[in-house]
Amino acid sequence: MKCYFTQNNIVHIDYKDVDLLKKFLNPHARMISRKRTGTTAKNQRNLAEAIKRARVMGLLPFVSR
Amino acid sequence: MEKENATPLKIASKTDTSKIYELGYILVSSLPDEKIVDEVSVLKDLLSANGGDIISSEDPILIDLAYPMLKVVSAQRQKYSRGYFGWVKFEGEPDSLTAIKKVLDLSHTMLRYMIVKTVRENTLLNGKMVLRQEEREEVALEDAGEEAPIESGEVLDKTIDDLVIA
Repeated sequence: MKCYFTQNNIVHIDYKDVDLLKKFLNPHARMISRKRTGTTAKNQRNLAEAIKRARVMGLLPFVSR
Repeated sequence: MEKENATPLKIASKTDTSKIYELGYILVSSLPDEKIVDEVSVLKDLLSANGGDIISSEDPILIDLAYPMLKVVSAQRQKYSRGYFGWVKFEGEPDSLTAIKKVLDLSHTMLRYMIVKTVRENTLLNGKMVLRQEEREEVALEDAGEEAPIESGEVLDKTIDDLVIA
């Protein structure tokens, strides 16, 4: 399992790319660990920041279901 | 970082200290559609008045918020479940941000905003935001179309032959 962002050459993870970020959330809208997604440590940090920004701006939920 | 207390020289163009920022904002849904354009121009004027050079932007679109947000306007608590979401990317001095934030905090039409550090290049995957349900479906359809297998002539002929025989 390889990192999605490395494979797709995504350098900057934007908080407005809601569909991209949703791939890394479980049905409860919690972040999926990098153990499960294979994201590199650096990308996981940036991803976490992007998801949190999207939550504050009402683009993603904090909790779901 | 050098610690010099000399007053920063105000140069209109890019300086050593200027950084790229992005202002993401949600305007209240009670605004009529035609007023949105005015709001955006007010925002951009505010940024340029504080020494910001606008790089790129996207006009606000009405979206369903992931959760209801509260805003207190003149001691009245308002609950919003929809809002106009837009963004402006600009280059400006770090010192000018406090002045910008002060104005935005007092705004009656600004439901929420966020200023983040970013890069000059476009960071969105599709080149623009895909936030509305209809747009999402369109993108999904486009993706599906690209992924559909295109059979080469030979394979196609073979399958047709098989069908004819059957």
